[in-house]
Amino acid sequence: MKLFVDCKKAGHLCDKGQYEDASFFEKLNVRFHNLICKHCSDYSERNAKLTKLLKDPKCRQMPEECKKRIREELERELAKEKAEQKP
Amino acid sequence: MANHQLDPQKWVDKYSDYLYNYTIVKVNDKEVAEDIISETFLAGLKSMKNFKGEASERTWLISILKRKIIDYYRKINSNKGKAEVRMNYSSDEETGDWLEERVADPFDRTAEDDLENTELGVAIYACLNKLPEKQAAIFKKKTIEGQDTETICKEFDITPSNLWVIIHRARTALASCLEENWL
Repeated sequence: MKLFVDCKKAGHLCDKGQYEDASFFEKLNVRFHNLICKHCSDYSERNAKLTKLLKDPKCRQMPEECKKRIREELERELAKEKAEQKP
Repeated sequence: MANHQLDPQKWVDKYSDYLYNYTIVKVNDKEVAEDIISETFLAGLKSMKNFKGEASERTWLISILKRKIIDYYRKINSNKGKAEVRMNYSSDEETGDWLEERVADPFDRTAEDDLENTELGVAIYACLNKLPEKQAAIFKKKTIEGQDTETICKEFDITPSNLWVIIHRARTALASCLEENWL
């Protein structure tokens, strides 16, 4: 294992870090890399900001059971229309 | 101009979260929002023949949704004993029947293009809608639904490195879109 990684690897590990998919050592890799690389340190900052926005309670999601209900309703209506067109 | 097509089978996956964020800030009630969106999709289905293909599918759905939201407020207002909904023209030169004229407008371009001053959730989902379909679906599953890499890879038949490339592209595009339109 290397302590210092290249930009490509650092970017990938930074992405993984946004999902808690990066190990402690990998997070350390990103930190070390960012010390010497302005570009990647900007990328990390932007990436973290995006993660924060996506977790904001103002970014809402329609509940899954409601989506399911609407999907079924639409399918029923579509089937009905098809049946009406046939005869 | 591109001729847009309607594909109702994908409506829920593609637009329900966007419409949900859009509606909830306007009616401030989860259940009401769910009902309005369900009505919107059904109304869309019924008036599919009227779709000319000039607006994008999403813009078209939003224009139906807006009418449904206004209908909702009209209904609760008439229940309360005819309180008046006042909506004024933006300038004095324009006169006429505000509701009927504006609502009859088949699509409203600002709904799609102007994300400034919109709510965070609306902006995020509007930006997500600009991504390629598969990219958006994978990104949503990974980021918003929090599914693990393995499950998603199996579903889409891709390798983990494919997945991370897709995630990386989606994140970069999303960040730029939000910086341009929202922040």
